[in-house]
Amino acid sequence: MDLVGIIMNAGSSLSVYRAQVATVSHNIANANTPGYARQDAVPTETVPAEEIGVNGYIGRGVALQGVVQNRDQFVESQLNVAYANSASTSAQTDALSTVTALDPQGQGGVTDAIGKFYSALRDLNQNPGDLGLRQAVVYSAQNLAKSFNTTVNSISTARTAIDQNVSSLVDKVNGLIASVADLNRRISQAVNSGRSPNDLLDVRQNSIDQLAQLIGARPVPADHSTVNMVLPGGTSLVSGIVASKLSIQANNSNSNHYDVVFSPVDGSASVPFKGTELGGQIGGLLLSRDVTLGSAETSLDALAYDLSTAVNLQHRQGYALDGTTTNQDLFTMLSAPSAAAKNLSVEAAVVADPSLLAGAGSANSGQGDNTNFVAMIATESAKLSNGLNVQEGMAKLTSDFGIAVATVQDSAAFDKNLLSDLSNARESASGVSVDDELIHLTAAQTAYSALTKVITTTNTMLDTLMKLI
Amino acid sequence: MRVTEKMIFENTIAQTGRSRENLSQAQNEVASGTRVQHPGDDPVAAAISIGHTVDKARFGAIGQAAQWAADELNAADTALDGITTAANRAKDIATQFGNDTYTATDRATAAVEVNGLFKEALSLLNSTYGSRYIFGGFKDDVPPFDSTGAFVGDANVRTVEVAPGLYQDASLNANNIVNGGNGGVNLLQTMNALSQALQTNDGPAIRSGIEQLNGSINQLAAGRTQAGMAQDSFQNAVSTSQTAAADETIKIGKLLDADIIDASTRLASAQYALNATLSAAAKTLTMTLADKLG
Repeated sequence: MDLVGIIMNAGSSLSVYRAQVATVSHNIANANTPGYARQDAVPTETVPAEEIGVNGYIGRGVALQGVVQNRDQFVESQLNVAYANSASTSAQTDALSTVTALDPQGQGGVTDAIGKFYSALRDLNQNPGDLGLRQAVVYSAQNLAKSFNTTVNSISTARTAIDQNVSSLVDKVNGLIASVADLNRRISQAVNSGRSPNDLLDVRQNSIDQLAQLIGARPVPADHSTVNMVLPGGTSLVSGIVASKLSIQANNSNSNHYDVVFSPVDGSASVPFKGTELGGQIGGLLLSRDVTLGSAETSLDALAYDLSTAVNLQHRQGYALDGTTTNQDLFTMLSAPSAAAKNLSVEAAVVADPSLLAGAGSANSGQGDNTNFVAMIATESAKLSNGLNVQEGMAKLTSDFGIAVATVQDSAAFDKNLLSDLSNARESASGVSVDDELIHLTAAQTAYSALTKVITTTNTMLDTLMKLI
Repeated sequence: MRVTEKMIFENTIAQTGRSRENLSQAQNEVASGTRVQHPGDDPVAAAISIGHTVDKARFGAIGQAAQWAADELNAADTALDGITTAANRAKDIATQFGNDTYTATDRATAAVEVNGLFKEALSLLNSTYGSRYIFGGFKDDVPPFDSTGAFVGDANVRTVEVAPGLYQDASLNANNIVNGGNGGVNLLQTMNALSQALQTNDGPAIRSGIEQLNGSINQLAAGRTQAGMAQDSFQNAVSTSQTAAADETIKIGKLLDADIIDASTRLASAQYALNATLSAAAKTLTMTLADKLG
């Protein structure tokens, strides 16, 4: 190899170390960028080497093989599921922990009101003709109705708040779906033209992570450059470069709460998702809204309906203070359990005239007749439609809600830890260590300095030769 | 494992957050004195406490109604005591003036006293407790005895709960005690008859009143016994209900209240952990190769 060749080789090798320094700079700059995977400028020997004499070869220096990302696909595939699960259980925990309407010692709650209603009835039972005690029973009945109203309203408000949250999240999901489809197109173009679109891959990975967190979508590699995004129920959100669209739609069979609806790209009819078909934050919120809070609302409705019906049926059997008025409801008779807790109220006639409280067991038996009040007190222990009395029914409702919350809190803690471990594993494989980068920088700088020394020395040798001429 | 700065930052954030969360929970428990605020804190305790809360209200109401019933029975017993005194005096008069040595004038004078006793008994039988007539049965809004002594109330007896689902008679059947119901003696009629007999100087009729009055006095004694037993029953109900309500309060406390010593220990532990986390983080975050390179 001649001296000029050595200088040429050293010169071209310098570009490799410049690339390494540039990569280190890029890595350090993106050390905190979400989704960024550490890049390496990979050097390789320049081939073929120059053949000298018999079986003698002199190398031609170093060339840049490429700039590659560091990603562990095994960790990535687990991390996607962990993002979805953690977002789901965290969303459920946040949504359910703020519902305080069923707190066991909450003042003004249904439990408190049930106790006060039957206490007032017991007081009146001792002195059934007393108008003050009758008024107290009417107040306590109104208080009971109001406690059902406010408790169910609180649950219903939490469900509506979830609707609003889901609505804004769906907009975000649509943006990410479009982003992934667009990135698929750009990455495909770059790969097909022989380039390594590392930074586009990072941006897409970040969008994929967010889609997993928001709706539980999983990436399914379609070819060497594109990924499809699929929901837990199998619906494809992104297919190559084609993006689907989600929207929300009020469901009148679910108290007008929002369904998340899939709009196929071919323009065919929109399809509402079932709860289990979605994951991530949106799936968790819908699960809280329709399963845990929905069940609490349904149970509260059933309890309000059963209790008011049982009290009314007994109240109708009695006679008012005038000795003749009978067949009077205490609570406004509800036609069905649906929305019973919301609509429960005390009959206006009884509110206006507490003497209509029917304590007497027979007509014209006198104001001291408390026979029917005794029977009404017995409704406290009577088994309702679910085979439980009102106290047991309220305990079951509280227990069911509490168990659902506690279970999801435990799951959230587990999912959070798992996500933390996997995030650490990803960070370990793909993250930027400033210490590492500084060492790489120093190594590249040292090699670069050495190569410039080679060029200087070779140049001196050339000068020496030139002086001979 | 390869450890990056970002990993250290994120772990620091997570650990500090966890320590602060633990500290907040312990602090909240100590400050509120409550362990279970939300059903999710302890679903079983929250559900069981519902039953105890309703039971506490139930026992409180039973105790209150029982106290009122006991007070009313006490008033009834006091009235019966006065009526018994009047009946005894009437019997004494009948015994004394049944002797034919007394003149018609003497007996007419005694009749005036018997009339007074009749009115006294009538007044006591029309006693009220609060706004109602305690001997009226279910018809307790009008005087149960009219001015002639005729009973216009009824024989019904109210019942009041002494334990959940267990009822005790809370009023007396005046028809049986003073009105001659169930084959007994009508006190007011007997007093009226005695007065008539004294006025008409009818010795045999006066003497026949003695036995009638004895029967009445026995009926009154039976009524007072009944009132006393019921009163006892209600007083027992008051004390057992108070005890039961207090027990329910204790049970609720055991289920839902914080163990202050345990909570305070956890608070101190959480404070220590947070302090350690922050110290460790401060030291770790300052270590970088950048500071060592020239």
